Parts: sequence; C-alpha cells; structure tokens
Amino acid sequence: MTSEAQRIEIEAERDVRLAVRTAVDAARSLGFDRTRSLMIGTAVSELARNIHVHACQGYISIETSRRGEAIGLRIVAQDDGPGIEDLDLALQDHYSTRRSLGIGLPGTKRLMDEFDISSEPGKGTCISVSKWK
Amino acid sequence: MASVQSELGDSAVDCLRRRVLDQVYENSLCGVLIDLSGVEIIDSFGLRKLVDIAKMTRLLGAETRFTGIRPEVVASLVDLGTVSSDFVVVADLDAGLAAFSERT
Repeated sequence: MTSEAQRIEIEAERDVRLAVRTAVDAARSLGFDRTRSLMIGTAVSELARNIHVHACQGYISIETSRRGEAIGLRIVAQDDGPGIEDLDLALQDHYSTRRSLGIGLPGTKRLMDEFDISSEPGKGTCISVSKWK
Repeated sequence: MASVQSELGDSAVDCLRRRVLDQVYENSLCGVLIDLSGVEIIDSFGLRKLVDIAKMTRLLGAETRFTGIRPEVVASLVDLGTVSSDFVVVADLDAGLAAFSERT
C-alpha cells in the first residue's frame, strides 16, 4: 500500500538536487535517522543522475510505502533512455559506460533494502528501490 | 586548502577542479587539502570527479588529501563501494599538513 507520491521530472542538474532534497526530507519526516536519510538521498542522487546523464528524460517518484506494520520509502526512477543491454554486467562493481566509478547501480542496491530493475534496450529503464524503517 | 559546501553537483565540482588546478600551478603547491565537511551527499559521479582532481593535481606535482567527511555520510560511502586508492582521507588539517611535510 502506498500514498502521497511526489513526482519530479529530471531534465537538468537542478532537478537532481530537487529530487535528492525531496527524498531526504520525506525520509526525515517518516522518522528515518540522519544517516539513513542521507543513504536514501545518495541512492536518489545516483538514480537521478543516471537519468540526467544516460537518458533524455525521466522522472523520480517518491512515496511512503506500507507493508503490514512496516513503513518505508519507495523510490521509482523511470526513463526513456537507451536502456541497459546487459543488466547482470551493469550490476557488477566497476562496470561503467561513462563518467562514474562503475559502482553506481551496485552501490544503490547496497544503500537500499530492496532493488528491482527492468530495462529494455531502446525503450528505457525502470528502477524501483525501497528502504524500510 | 579548498572547501566544498553543499552538494557535489557537476558545476560545483568542475569549478572546484579549475580553482585547485590553477592554484597548484600558479603557486607550485605540493599538497592540496579538500574539506568535505559541508557535503551531505556524495554519489558515485561526485566521487569520480573528486578522484579525478586528485589524479590531475598529481600530474602537476601535488598530492591531494580529503578531510572533514561527516559521520552521517560515511555509511553511504561504504555502501557505494570500494573507493579508488586516489581518494586518500586524513583526519584533520594537522594530519594533512603532517602527511605533506613527511613527503618533502
């Protein structure tokens, strides 16, 4: 069950900053401590910058997520970019196509509790991550 | 010594790199200390750019050390993964100066 989704279109660098701030604020107001809120912020920074660097357009959506008693934050990053040819490869440490250290996707996975990715070359990529309180 | 405030956006880090490289070249510096205490979010893109600054200053004859990473930021850095050997951190300004003077 989810509620209160906030959606931020990612077209420029300032949108990346806005997405990060929105996610950190949402995490703080859900009661995540500072360290874990910044982990969520770092994951969102990674996802939003991926959209900005690799795709033309996309969005980040941030919403509260509930599963039974558990409450958390769910973030979806959707873009219409080139997609990822080899997902297994992209999820390995030190694989990079451009500009990052090649730790972005595996790093994002480690920062969050849940990580789902689907991608189709030529169509785009959708990554969904959650962190539970 | 340079200090970074707020986020490690592309434009902010590019500006930092230009400033650092100019200073190293013009003043023949042997060491650069970059203070990250104002930074809350370091993603892999920002990290890559910081590592690049360290590599570039080395080509100008100066070692770069980083300092001031906040405790709340450390967990994210660990999860991001193995950091490059060019990302060398010192505890504070004194430790940075000591590291540089050992070299000379």
